[in-house]
Formats: sequence, C-alpha cells, structure tokens
Amino acid sequence: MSFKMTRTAVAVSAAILTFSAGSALASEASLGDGPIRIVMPYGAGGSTDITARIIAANAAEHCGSRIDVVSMPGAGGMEGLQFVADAEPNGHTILMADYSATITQTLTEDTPWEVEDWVPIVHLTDWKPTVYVKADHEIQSIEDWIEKAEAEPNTLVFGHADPLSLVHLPLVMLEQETGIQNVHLPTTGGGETRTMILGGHIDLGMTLPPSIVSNVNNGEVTAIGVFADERSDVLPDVPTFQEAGYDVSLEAPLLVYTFSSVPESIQQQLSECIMTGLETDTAQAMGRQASAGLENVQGLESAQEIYRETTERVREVLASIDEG
Amino acid sequence: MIEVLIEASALAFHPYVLMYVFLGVLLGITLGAIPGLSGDMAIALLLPFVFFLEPALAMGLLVGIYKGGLFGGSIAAISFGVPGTPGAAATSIDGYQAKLKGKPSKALHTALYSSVIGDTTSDLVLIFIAVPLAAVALTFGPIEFFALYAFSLILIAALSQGMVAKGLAVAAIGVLLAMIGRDPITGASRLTFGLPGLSGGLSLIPVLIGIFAISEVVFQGAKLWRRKVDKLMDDVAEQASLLQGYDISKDKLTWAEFKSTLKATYIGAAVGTFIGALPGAGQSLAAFMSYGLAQRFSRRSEEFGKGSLEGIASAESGNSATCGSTFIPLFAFGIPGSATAALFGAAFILMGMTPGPSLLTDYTAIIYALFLTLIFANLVNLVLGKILLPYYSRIAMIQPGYMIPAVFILAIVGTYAANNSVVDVWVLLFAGALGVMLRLMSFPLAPLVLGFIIGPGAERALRQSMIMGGGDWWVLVKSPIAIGFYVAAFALIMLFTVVLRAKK
Repeated sequence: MSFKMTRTAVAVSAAILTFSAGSALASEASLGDGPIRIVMPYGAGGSTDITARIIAANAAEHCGSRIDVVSMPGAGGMEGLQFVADAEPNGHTILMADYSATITQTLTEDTPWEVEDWVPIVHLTDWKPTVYVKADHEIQSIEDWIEKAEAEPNTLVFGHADPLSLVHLPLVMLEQETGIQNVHLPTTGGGETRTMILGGHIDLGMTLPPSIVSNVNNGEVTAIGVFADERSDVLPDVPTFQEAGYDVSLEAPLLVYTFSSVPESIQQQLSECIMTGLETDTAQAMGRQASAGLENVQGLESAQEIYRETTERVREVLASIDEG
Repeated sequence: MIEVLIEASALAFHPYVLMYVFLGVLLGITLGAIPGLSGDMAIALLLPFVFFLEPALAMGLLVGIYKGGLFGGSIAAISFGVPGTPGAAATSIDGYQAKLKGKPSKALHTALYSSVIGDTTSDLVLIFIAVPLAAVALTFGPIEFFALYAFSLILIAALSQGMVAKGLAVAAIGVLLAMIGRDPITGASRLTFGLPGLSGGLSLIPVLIGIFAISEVVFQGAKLWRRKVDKLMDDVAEQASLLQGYDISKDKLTWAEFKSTLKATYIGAAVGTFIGALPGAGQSLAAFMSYGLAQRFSRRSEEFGKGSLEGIASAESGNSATCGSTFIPLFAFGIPGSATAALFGAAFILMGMTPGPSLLTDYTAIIYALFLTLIFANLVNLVLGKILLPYYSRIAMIQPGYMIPAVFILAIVGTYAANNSVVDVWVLLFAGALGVMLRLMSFPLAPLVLGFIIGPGAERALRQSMIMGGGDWWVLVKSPIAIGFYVAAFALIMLFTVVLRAKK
C-alpha cells in the first residue's frame, strides 16, 4: 500500500514537474500578461516623456497589456536604472533613456552594473546636439566662433546642461580637435540655457533641435552648427561641424532598454511589439506633431549597433579628459 | 480685437468646454488635497489623450486640473498640516494652527478667496502685460537671481520675530541639507556619506512633509498620550471640548475678517505674479516670500504662525498668483518657467502648436479662448470650493485619535507616490525627527524650509556668476537689478529695526 502510494506520488510529482517545466518554458518564451512599465529616469513633460507616452498610447494593444510610464528622476536618474535592474527579469519593467544615464554615468560613477548590462531593444531616434547664439550676437557661424575663440581664449561663455551630458561632451570633443578654449557654464538644462542666451547673459549654448526650432524661425536665435553626420530635419539650413571641416560628431540615440537578465526571446518580442505600435498612423501623427523624430524607428540590431558605437566614442572622450 | 474675442468666446464657452473645465477643477481639487498627488501628475497622465481632443476641450480640462490642484493643496495643508503640494507648505504654517483653534472653515474659506483673487490677478497680468513682463524676466541672469535669492533669505530670516539668530541658524541648516547630492557645477557627489540613495540629493516633498507634518503628528500623538495619562491637561481638555462641540455655523468667515485679509492677499498677488513670471523660481518661493512680506506689513504681525488668517491669505494668494504668470515665458519665448508650464508646453506640442512667440499670432483664437478659460476656471474653482468646503471642514475636525495615524499614512504614501522612491520615505522620517528636535528647542521651521528651497538656486546662481565673472566677486554688483535687490534688503532691515525700536 505504502509502495503504491509512493509510486503514485512519484508519478504525480513527475507530472507536476513536467507541467511546471513546460509552463516555465512557456513563460520564458513569451511576455505574458500584466502591465508593462516604461521607467524614464527624467522628470515629466520633457521630450523623452512625450515619446514614452506616445509608445504607451500606441504599443499597448500590440504588446498585449497596458503600458504605464513611470518617471523616476531620483538620485540623478540612478534610482530609475536601479529599479529596472532590480525588477523581475520578465520584460515588464523596461527603461527608456539616452546614453547619459546608461553609458556616461555608468563609466564615470560607481554603479552596480556595467554598460553591457543594458540591452537596447528599440532605437527610437537620434538627437543632434546643436550650437546656437542670440540673433544679434557678433558670432553667427562656426567660423566666427572658432576665430573669436582663438583670438581671445577663455572669454566666450558657453552654456550647456550638466557636465558630461549629451550637450556638453561634443563641446569637449571640439575643443580637443581645434584647441580653442571657452568658459563652460553648467545650467539646469535647455530651458535655462535658452533664457540666458535670449537675455544676452552668455554667448553660446548647446541644445537639441526641437527645443529651439520656433525661436530660430522667429529670428530670435541663430543655430550655427550641428554635431552630427547629417543635418537635422527640423533645422535643414544649419551646417554640420563636419561640413565646416571639423571632424566632430556625437549624436545622441534615444533607446528603449531591458536589463541583460531578461531572456532574449522576450527582448525580441518587446522590440517587435513596440515597433509595430510606433508604425501605426496615430503614432506617426503624434510623433510628427511633437517633433519626436519617430519616422525611422529601428529594432534590436540597429539599437545594439549604435549603442556599441556610442559607448566607444564616449569611452574615448572620457579617457582623454581623465574621467571614468 | 472684438472679433477675436467673439470667436474665442464661442470656443471657450461651448457647453462641452465648460463641462471639461468643471471636471478638471473637481479632479484637481481632489488630487491636490491628497498629499503627494498633484495636478501636475494628472496632467502628465492625460498628455497622450490631449492629442485626440479638440484644443479648446483639452485646454479646459488641463487648466481646470491645474487651478483646482493649486487650491486643493491648501485643503490638506489646513486640515492635516500636510501640504498637499509644495506650494501649499507656507499655507500649512498658519492654516493648521487656525484649524487647531477650531476654525477650519474660516481658514479654508480664506484660502479659497485669496487663492481665487491671486490667481485672477495673475491671469489678467498674463493677458494684458505678458510681453513687457516677459522682457523683464529675460533680464534675470545668474547675477540677478542670486540677488533675488539673497533678498528672500534675508527677508525670511528676519521674519522670525524675536528669534532672528535662531531663524538664520535653521535657514543655514536648510541650505546645508539642500547641498547634499550632486555639486551643481562639477556634477560630483558630495555630502552623501557614500549612500547611493542620496546621490541625487534630498527631494523637496519628503523634506517639507517631514519637517511640517510628521513632527506635528508626533507632537499631537504625545499630547494625546499625555491626555490618557493625565486627564487634567488643560489645553488638551480644551481642545477635546472644541472638537466635540464643533459647530460649523459658528465657524463662518465674516465680512470684516475677509476685509482684514485683503491687504495680505494683494501682497501675495503681486509677489506671486512677479515670481511666477521668472523662469525657475517656483510656487513655494512665491508663497513664502508673500508670507514674509505680509507679516512685515501687517498690523497684527504677532498673530502670524499662530493661526493668522492674514498669514493664510498671503501664502495662498502668493502660491496661486504664479498660475497665470508662469505661462508668460512660455508664450513669449517658448521657455517653460515651471514643471506645470513644461507640461502645458508638451500639451501644446502634441496639439501641433509650438510654444513660443509665434503662438499668439498663429493661433490667436485658441489662445484667447485659453485666456477666457483661465478666468472662467477661477469662477468654477470658487463655486466648487464653496460647495465642498463645509464637508472638508468637518473632515478636518475628526478626532485626533483617528487623525494621527491617518496623517502618518497619508504622509508616507504621498511621499512615495510623488517620485516612486523608497529613499524619499526615509528622508521623510529623518526630516520628521529633525522637525521634532527643532520644535523641542523652539526653533522656527519656516526658515529651514525656505533655505532648503532656495539654497540650490542661490548656490548655482552664485557659482554661475563667479564663472562668468572669472572669479571676481565684484561681478555680483555689476547689474542695476541686483544692486536694487541689495539696497531693498538693506532698507527693509533698517526699516524693520527702526520701526520695531520705535514701537518699543
């Protein structure tokens, strides 16, 4: 009797084991239910926030569940990254950020993860850092700037957001390339830089094109150069620094990431459903109105390629200025 | 102009738009009243839906939420001593004291009226003199901002009557607490004691709620405990009878009382409108600055901090008067001056309208409709507030035995919800402990919070000025506006000391 019991027990446990292994396999292969959280290590209302909300509104039905946007600006964005790294690796907690958080801060600070722990799954757009001045400033072109800065080193005040941010690194690279020197003035971000430019408090500033388009069109500021391989779609008249003969370009890709512990099949699935959502007419219309640059969204491979390239470049710049 | 107004009215006073404004205000008041939740959060959540709405409807809804939220923040500040939004922190100083004295209805009504008056003033300024005021805002660079911050700090430290030294001391503690985190210029970590959670600095909400609300709850709890031990405690017995015998009909704001708060309200309206127009200065600064000035110019300044209706009026009017003027830099230059303005900017962008100088010329009708909606929403706020306040007043008078744990939970949940951060909850508890210590040693708490609010801005502005001036301190007095602020600060100190001496 007892023997029989044991045999039954073994059979039952075997069945359970097979079953649970089967279901484990199944859950590994697919995303499953439950809300997906897009963690954004910035405050609400910025361009990343708008893009995240466009994803949430359009990709939900393709990913099979609700998508929430969670803003976690705490600890300079590190709290957001920590939250995604600590989450259960089922693909339901993903990160959306530019390279400052995942590459620059990881290289320069003591973080519990490596750059490679962030796996980009969607490449949303590339931001092109743009240098601009007030419309009535004596500098009105890249040439004017270099000439003036060579004649009087360390007199031109250049406003950029945080040190080593994506609108500061290109300046560092240009100074290395040309040997010019400017006074670097950190600001709270694009808004403060623009106020200081418009008020005539500083000479030059760097920002991302969508935020100054209306001021450029209105004739209040002049965008003098773009740190990118190609000109910006929204500022087609502004030359790149390469055109002016300076080989400096550092575009900032906006990426969606999972942590490396998330199974590859889920990464693939997420990447596809977000891409499908962003290719819908509604998403494209929203993106156009927001100048979010979502016309050419790329999947896993392109995202990982650009991430590797950007990492290399950032590593080089940081090594040359003795950071990281 | 007349044609534009007619066209705009047709848009703004469409029944659906009115309904959305109404809904928005109701939602805003409710969210604002819950600590940690704010109108801003609701606006952020609604952003994608804005794309699908007619601009006039969307604007109605968002404006309603914003205005309702600003006033709603004062409800929790007065009822529970927990500022529902950072802007309501100054309101909680006198508001909560007034409630403890059994006057929640008076306090809430004062807050409502001053909020609506301040807000309307600010909206009118936005509509009629946005362009000149915007030009003034642009002349504020780091040098001028530092002068403004220095002026506010001096004003607030002097606010603590009879305890100027203690006021200055806690203001300094506030500035020091604000220095934890990232160095604003180099980006290096400092004063974090190696704790990664502190590397981004302390957030405003947990510090505010901890200092004001948690320490208050602990004190109330201690009193309650003492009452159980010793039923003869006079003040507690008095308060208990007050709670049981709360009669709302005796707690009505009289016309005379309302009139007595008007001066404070106007001061708040002027200060709030001005501060709101400066990019980055913020609601909390406006509220505390109005409070400080109103106290200095009040005939009954000794009542401030003890439940003064004037104190509530100045703080709440200053807070709400940032509402219209915060849009001035957004419309004039496309620069969002505050988090809310940034969210509205995002909403404009999603509706295909780029914020900036061309906004008014390209979309004249819809912007004028927005202006009308701004004014109309104030009316809705007034009416809805008037209907809801009696209920809120009763809630405010719940027995402390139920109230204390409720406030404690509210404070913790609210803090967590604001930034989804566990670190913030720890900050809240530590700030609470600090608040208790300071109360025990009878230090004033308001200067600490003000030091914390303006510390980062002041430091950044100072260091930016020094970078721009190549390390020469004289750069600080190279701007006429800055000199004006320093002279005004000096004159105020002289005036107050002389007037105070003369009174004695």
